[in-house]
Amino acid sequence: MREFRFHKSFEDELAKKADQFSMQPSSRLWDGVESGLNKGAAVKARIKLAGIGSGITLIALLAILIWRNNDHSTSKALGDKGVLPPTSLNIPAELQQQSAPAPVIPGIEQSEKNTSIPSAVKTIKAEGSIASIPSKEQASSQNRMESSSIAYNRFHIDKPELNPGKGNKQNYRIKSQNYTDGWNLMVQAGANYNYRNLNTANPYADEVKSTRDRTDRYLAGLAINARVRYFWSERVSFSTGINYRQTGERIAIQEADTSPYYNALFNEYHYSEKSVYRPGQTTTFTNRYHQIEIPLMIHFSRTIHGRLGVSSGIGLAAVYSFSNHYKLYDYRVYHYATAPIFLRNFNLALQGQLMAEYRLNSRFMLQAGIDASYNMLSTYADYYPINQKQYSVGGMLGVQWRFKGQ
Amino acid sequence: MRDEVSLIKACIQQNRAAQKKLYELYSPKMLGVCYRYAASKEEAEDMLQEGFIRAFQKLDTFRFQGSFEGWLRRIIVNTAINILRKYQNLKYECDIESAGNTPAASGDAITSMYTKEVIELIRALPNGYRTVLNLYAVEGYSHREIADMLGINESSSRSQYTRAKTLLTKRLEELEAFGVKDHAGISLP
Repeated sequence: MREFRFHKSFEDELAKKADQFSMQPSSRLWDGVESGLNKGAAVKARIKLAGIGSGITLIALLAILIWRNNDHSTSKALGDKGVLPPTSLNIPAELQQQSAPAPVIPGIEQSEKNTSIPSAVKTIKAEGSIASIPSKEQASSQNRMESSSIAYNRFHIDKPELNPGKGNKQNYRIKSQNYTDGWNLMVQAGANYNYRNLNTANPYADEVKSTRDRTDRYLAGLAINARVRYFWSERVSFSTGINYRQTGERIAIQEADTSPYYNALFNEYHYSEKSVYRPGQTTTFTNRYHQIEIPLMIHFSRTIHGRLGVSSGIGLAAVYSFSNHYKLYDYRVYHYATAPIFLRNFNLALQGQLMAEYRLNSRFMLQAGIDASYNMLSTYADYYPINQKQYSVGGMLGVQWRFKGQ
Repeated sequence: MRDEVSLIKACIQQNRAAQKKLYELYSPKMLGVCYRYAASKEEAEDMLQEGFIRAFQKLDTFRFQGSFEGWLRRIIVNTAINILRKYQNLKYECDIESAGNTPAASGDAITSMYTKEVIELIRALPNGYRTVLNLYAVEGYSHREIADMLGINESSSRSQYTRAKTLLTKRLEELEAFGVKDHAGISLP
């Protein structure tokens, strides 16, 4: 490393003096190092846990998707109605007069169940009415159709003969499957209330906490979500995509809030104390963080009445803070204010949603409700003695569009 | 030496007591290193704290082939440089042609001074000058290495060093004129 130098004595003497120099650090500094090491270990464990959790969720999701696809294929092989299509009832002529046992259905008398299949059955068409079936065989045929209605409903739920009537809850629940089957695109936007949960890792930073607890205020922001949502069943769905969220807080300083931390902040921004500490007035600094999130959520839906339903969702999101507008340094202002080196870029958030959902037609659904997010890791880097976790609660409006399905 | 090796091995095993002992052993000297780069003792302690956390996290990469102090010092200096680069808008815009001629600085003036005064003289230099002077004259990095570390041209590093040396020599002369031992205004926190 060391180069040959002509003025060797100057550099060597300087290096010698510098090597001799040492200073005793503050006794509390080790607490900060230890705290950083503990946090680092905790974060590693949390990331490992989150990785395992995400892996399990992903595998479960894939398994569900594969299972669903297989289930669809099996049902389709039986025909669109879930029963063999008329053309596949290839009954040989010699067997047409033989007796065939009907399925055993509770509530139907044995004499009716053992009715032989008349040739009329062959004439039943998938879309046709059962009115033309002779009355003796009608009950048996209808029961067979009802017994296959589970498979039928999953794919052809709009058939008039299976809809008990408009306004009926059961009817709507059957119809609603059309909205929820397959893939949906969900776009939501809303305003939110943002604040933070502040803790200190050691007594060193307690004074910072007390000062900020006195002066910090909420910050209003906005959130926009664009996600795909896959319905596993009428009630359970999964969503993932991308969110944009503004979080942060405001620091409202009044004349009474004299603090060495804030004085240093003012110096950084070339404010005089006079211009900031004005009697009866509040000076506000804003810390705003812009986050991009990739969520993975599970939703549970339920029809309340007619077209109206409710859906609650919970999940985890990987968070990247791509831009930080930071104007506060807590106890060493000159660092924070100029370059927020100790702000964390990557975070993990626990998220939840409670939405009312109104189905407009077979493809569109309107949504309105509450959206919440809690960052599980501190806004600051691990080594920092202030542990600040941002959270956000807000109202959301959205629309959901079914772009793929049966 | 053997004690140090076993202490480092215990630190790799995340033994907190061993980590504290290693910290107590090297923190005064390393704080001295940080102090030369920092604008204040608080900033130097920030650098030291982050540097030790990084060092403990990367300790398993130490191969026991060279001096541990040298290895630790490199981590601490790199941490300090990273913090300076991010905290401060360090500018090294200066061409080699505009640097002027360097007076033939003598080491004698430095030898006759107390260590504290020399350190304070270094710290009194502007940020950019101070960083390059520390890296080149004290740590022994080449101008190419400094250019890579700071993200500047090699010629900028040379010119910064030349200016730093000129300024330092001028101040040394002023101090000699006053008499080093009577110099007031240099105080450590």
